[in-house]
Amino acid sequence: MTLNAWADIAIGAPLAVFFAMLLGMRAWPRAVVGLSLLSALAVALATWMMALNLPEGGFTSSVPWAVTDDFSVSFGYRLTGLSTAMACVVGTIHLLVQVYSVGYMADDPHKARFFGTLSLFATAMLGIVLSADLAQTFIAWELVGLASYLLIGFWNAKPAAAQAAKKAFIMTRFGDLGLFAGLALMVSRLGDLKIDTVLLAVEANTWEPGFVTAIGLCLLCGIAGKSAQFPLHTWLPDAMEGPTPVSSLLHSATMVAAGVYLFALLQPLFLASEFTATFALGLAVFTALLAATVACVETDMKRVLAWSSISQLSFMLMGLAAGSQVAGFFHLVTHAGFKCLLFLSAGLFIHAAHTGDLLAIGRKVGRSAPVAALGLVVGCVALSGFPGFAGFMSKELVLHAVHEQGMVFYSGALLTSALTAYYAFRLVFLALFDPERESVEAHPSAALKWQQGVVVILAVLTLGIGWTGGDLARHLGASADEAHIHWMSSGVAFAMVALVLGAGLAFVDFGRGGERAGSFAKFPAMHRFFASGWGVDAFWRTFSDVGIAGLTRLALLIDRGAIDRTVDGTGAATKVLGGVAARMQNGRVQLYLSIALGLLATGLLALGAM
Amino acid sequence: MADDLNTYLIISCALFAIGLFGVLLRRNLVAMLIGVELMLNAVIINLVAFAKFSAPEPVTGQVFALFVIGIAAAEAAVGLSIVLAVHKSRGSISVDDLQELAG
Repeated sequence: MTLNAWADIAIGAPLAVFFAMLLGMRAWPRAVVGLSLLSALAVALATWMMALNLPEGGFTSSVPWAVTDDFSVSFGYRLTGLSTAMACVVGTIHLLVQVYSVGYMADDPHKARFFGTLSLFATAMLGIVLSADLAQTFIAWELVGLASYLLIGFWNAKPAAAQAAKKAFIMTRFGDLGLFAGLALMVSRLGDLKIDTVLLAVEANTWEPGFVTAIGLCLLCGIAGKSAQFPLHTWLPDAMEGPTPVSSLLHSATMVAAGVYLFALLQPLFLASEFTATFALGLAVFTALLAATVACVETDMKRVLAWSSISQLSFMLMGLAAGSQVAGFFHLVTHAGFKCLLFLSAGLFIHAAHTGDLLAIGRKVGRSAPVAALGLVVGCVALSGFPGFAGFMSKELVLHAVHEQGMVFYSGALLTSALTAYYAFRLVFLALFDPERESVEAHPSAALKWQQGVVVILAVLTLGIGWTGGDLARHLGASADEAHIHWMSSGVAFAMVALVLGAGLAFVDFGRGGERAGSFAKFPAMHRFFASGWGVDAFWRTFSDVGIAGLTRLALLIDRGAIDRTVDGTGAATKVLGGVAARMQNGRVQLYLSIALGLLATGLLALGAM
Repeated sequence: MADDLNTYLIISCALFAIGLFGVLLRRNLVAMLIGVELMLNAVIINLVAFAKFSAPEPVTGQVFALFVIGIAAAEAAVGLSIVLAVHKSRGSISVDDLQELAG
């Protein structure tokens, strides 16, 4: 089979499932689930076939779609090392999440809708990844937003879920405005938006520096929205209202990864402007630090993981903005593995405890769920950057790249690493080592076997994935050296110090039982500040209250002052003129006749004068 | 006065002006009708005068004048009957009392 056919399968199969669900298969949920699993399998197979059969130099094919005299949009596939690697991540994670969902959603009456929408999510994400044209990317990008909206608000009878879905949709739409502006700027100089065309134009250095910076900043705005970077990150923790498999997919391979992927795809464009690159780096370091501190004080298991995702996404962007595609993208891959694992483990805990509260999970479940505990430990060890595990390998590359960009960024990243270790081990200690655990008997069920199986597979993947850096670098077209870790360097030593400090503090705070508050609670003001997410949520609330209300008042003023006045004025003027005309119509035939004669005489005189 | 076209035209013009004056200024409906008759007669003088001085042979001008006189008689009949009806319905034939169409 050709690459084109594989790509057709990868995008078409899940789309077909979605439409089958939409067009009436909702009545047979089991059939939809079966179809959906089959298509997920096909997608995973197709993505791996594309990656393994990728010819040297990539593969592009596209057909023109909308063509005008000076602009054309095409649809097609652009398969490169980067896009096929990303497609593999999406395909694999999507398959695992679908299998996990079979158990997790077994008793949900709307599971047909769930699986159909999940398939749409995969289609949209693969649409971004395989796209050959930025216009096509934009369409798929919006579809990802739509699918995430539908899935976050899947339990739409729950007000919090509906709210969170709306928030996610609107916040990311904010960023998409920037993305759209960036694309429009490019259109003003280019005949089409093919990715190759754009990259060629950047390479040829034909645009003036200010223009490149403007495009970069606009696109960065879209990326910040999608990948939950400051100040548009507040939707991500709230998105936890969706079912856990959705969170897992959303955080590892789709949605938030889309922003990072776009950055990696157009990396030359961002690096062409020093200002944009530095700005992105600074923004990423700041967001990483902010999110990590909030994760340290959050008490809901899934929300801790959500804040951790924001922080880790920032690490990916740091690597990319610092100029290393391998480092940033490798971190995306490893993070996809361990964050998916963490969420699916969290799903097992929440299923057993019927709550997401960390302390309640520790008290009710803890180590009585061995598979979930295994997943949590492996995931957290990888997340915290334990040497040899996935998170360490990729984060080390990112830190190495950031180190070259200056000490400020590097120290910020190191501090975040320490905080990461702290909240990762806090999670482990709180969930698994609660001395006052009540012994509750486990309820093994057939459905649970599927979920536990997936968690075990992911744990194994997470253990192995850290060692694939060299292969990934070669697949991306870089040399394997770029993924090489210098074990005997000061960088690794610093990272170790950060890890030991963070993990040690977590052990002191939570590892020995007793009080479960932690060091942060000793500074109440700081604790409150962190717990409120640095007040960003409050800012947006005020912004929407004051800003939107102000805008409304302005609109009202314009409406009353300008529009109403104009309309009323037209009416009044008509009335006055009508009054004048009415006075002439006084019913005196003789006056009419006089006027007619006068007009006739004037007309004749004028004719005579000509 | 010489016997030429101008003389007739001046007379007809004066007659027309008098008729117009009557139509525009008199308030009495009968007086206005008389004004209209005067204007019609001014036109007839015009027709006959032009026929005599510019195309004497065929007597079309004179024949046309006879038609106008005939129609004027009919018009007077219609007009007077309207005046009669107005007088019957409101007891006055002054145009000042006929202003229903005032805007």
